Amino acid sequence: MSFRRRTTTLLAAGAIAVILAGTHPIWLSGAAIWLDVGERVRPVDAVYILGGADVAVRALVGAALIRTGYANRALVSGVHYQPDEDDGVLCPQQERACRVLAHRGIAQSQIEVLGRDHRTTFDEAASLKRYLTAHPRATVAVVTSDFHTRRTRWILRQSLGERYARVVVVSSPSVTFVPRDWWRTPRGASDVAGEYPKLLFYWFRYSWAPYGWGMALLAVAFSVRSLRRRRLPPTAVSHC
Amino acid sequence: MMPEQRSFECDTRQTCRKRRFYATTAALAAMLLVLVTFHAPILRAVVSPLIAPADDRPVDYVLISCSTEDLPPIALMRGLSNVAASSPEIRILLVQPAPSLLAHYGGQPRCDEFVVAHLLAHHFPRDRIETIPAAATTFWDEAAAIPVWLQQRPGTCVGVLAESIGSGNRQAIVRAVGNTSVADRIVVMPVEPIECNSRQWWKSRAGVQAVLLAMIERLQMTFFGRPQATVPTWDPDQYERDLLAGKADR
Repeated sequence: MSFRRRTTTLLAAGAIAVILAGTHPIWLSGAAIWLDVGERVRPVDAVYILGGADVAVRALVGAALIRTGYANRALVSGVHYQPDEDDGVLCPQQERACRVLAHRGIAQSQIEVLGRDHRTTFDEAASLKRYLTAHPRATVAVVTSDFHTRRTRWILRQSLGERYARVVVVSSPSVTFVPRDWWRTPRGASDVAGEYPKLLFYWFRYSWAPYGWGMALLAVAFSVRSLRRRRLPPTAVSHC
Repeated sequence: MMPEQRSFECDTRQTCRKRRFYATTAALAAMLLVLVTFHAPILRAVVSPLIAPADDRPVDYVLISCSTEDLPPIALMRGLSNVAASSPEIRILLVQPAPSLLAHYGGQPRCDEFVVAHLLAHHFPRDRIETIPAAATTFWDEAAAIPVWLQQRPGTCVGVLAESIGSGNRQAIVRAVGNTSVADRIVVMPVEPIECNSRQWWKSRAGVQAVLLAMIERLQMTFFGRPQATVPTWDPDQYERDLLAGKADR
């Protein structure tokens, strides 16, 4: 690489770094906002509270939807739990969600634990699929954390097919950070920045799309290369 | 004259390109071979800044972090039980967390109350549990409270329990906020997580996730230091009022 080219590259990299550092509040908050694809709440038959570390907040949002008449019943995800794994110290997540619902005045008869032994959002989507198949007219609001809605929506679309039309994804907020400065708290950093590798993992693990895109890119690269070769004079090609 | 010159240039460039291609391929192959052969030490070295070295110094107090809305991981609760059972003299230290929204709405007990209840259930004497009054929202707040507390107790040592993957971050925080005169009296005590093995973290999903999150936390610490973020003020009752007014879109 020539000196001039090297200097230009270094200057360009430095300029990009300065711009990125100067504008980090914009693009970092944008990164959190991009993850949140929660939809406007509309009346549904049931709310489905997904499991996770934020299950209690999700349950509070679910309870609010029932209390305000947007939904009639709560479906709580049956998350994998083995008492010997935690010495019986913590209770199952569904129990915590049920406690919050009860605390907010939701009757026991309105609460149902959906599925069991869920370990991933895909397992939860499979249980919802069974529920929607058994209840062909039911509509469901899936409640999950705001930063988790994009991955959830993608998984639900993959798993539910045409049944997805009967589903609305609702965001629940985080109680430990706000999206506009999530990078200033350890929890915000782990939730938001940690969501991107998970999105990538799910994309590669559960979809053929990245392989399709990869093949398309390779095809384009080969086409460009062969075109460039054809443009060279015949003498030059014969020498190669 | 010109075509010959061009062909000569092209020939040279092609040769260079070929040579560079072979050299790059050979270098990549060699790197891949080294990576595959020595993957275990390489991957261990990658996480070494995230793991605090084991420190066998005796401690008078053991602290378990209670500053977030999450309850402590089970590995730490087990570690705490083991420490409590191991020495009749040991004392447990807690830093009072900020009021918890989830505890208020019955989602889970407050972390410090949960730890105390667990210890009492294991017949640990109440008078050997001490709480530093504070309103901690992150481990940074706890780490800042310990040196102040230690200054009034000369010669006392505190061990901070931390899951091994990420314990290096805890140590870095203790050093960053700690007073140098008491810093050597605070020891980070790494506890092996239950879901994975920190020496073979790449072999389990939980291990990869733990390393990833610890790396993100380290980056966050490095670039932004002590958290000074906006405190969320979400209120479920207000949310319900917004829903009724048709204002909530989430």
